[in-house]
Amino acid sequence: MSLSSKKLVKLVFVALAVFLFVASVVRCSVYAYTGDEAYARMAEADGSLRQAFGAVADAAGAGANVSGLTFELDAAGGLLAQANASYRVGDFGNATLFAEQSIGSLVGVVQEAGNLKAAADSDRLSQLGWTASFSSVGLSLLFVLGLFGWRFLRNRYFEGVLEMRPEEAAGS
Amino acid sequence: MGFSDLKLVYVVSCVVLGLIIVAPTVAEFVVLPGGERFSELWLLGQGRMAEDYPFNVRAGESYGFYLGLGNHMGGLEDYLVFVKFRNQSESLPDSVNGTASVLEPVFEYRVFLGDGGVWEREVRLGFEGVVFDGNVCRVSRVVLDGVVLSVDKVAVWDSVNKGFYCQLFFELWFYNSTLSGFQYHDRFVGMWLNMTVPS
Repeated sequence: MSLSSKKLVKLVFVALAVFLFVASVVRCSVYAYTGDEAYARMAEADGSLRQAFGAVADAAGAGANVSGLTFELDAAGGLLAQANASYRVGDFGNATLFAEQSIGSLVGVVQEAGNLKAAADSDRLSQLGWTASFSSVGLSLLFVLGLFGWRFLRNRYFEGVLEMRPEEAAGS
Repeated sequence: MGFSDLKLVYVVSCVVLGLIIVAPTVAEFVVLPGGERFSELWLLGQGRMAEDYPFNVRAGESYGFYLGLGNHMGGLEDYLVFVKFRNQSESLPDSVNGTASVLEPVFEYRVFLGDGGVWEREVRLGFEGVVFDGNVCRVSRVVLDGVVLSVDKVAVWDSVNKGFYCQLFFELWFYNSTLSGFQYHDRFVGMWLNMTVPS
């Protein structure tokens, strides 16, 4: 095969690739979503939101600061609300678009919530360990000092009793 | 003070001191019952006060008010505020039975709030396709925060209150994990709107 033939074949392949790419883009831009497709995407978005909410609620229950994640949930919920509004007026394209944006905005939320929960659990365990240690040391000290204190107090008491002198009653 | 009294005072003091020392550890495990659990839902006028609500409205104008929500449920909550639009003859939520209005929502707000959290936003309201014909007024579309919503409501002339009245109201729902679905929270707020002819 000569050099010019190779160039020609290469050119045809490049042209074919460009054609396929343009055709796929044009096809996507004119594709109309059906109500069923929109509904399915919205259900998927709702499922993602529910899963993310569960994870964030668990993290919040463990004592983690989830204000950032709540903000992300709010944003995703807002997009899903817009998807529902679009669906109600029969705008299935926008409904699908908003639902997909909602799904996209939740990427990583579950994992981040899991990390925050693990950190919160770890912090809580650590705090519990310290508190239990202080309590144990405190109780031990109380026990030991209590025994010494009691011995001291008891001796003082009996010394006081022994130093007492009988007093004569007046007029006897 | 006798010896037995001294002994008693000493033992009680030691026990109280021991309880004080152990209290922080016990507090990590014991969960005390919280206060009353509830949610708040409110509407405020343009100045964020309970006044200056939109009332005499017309097509092509924009009106503002504030919608607010407060969470005192003891944890993170998933709220849904359904926006509904009705005329005078259509149903409101039933406060006695705690059931929501049977009307379909025209819009919704999904809000996630932590315990003690407050959510408030300014809502912009407008109307399109308002047609007056004798003693009826047809409202085709409501514009809420720039989103055009089809409502197609007919308000009949109210000769007593002198106006074509419709009501925009907001129902509060929350996610009940036991039911695995949203449940009406028995709270709603709304405002009456008198549809007027554009000048």
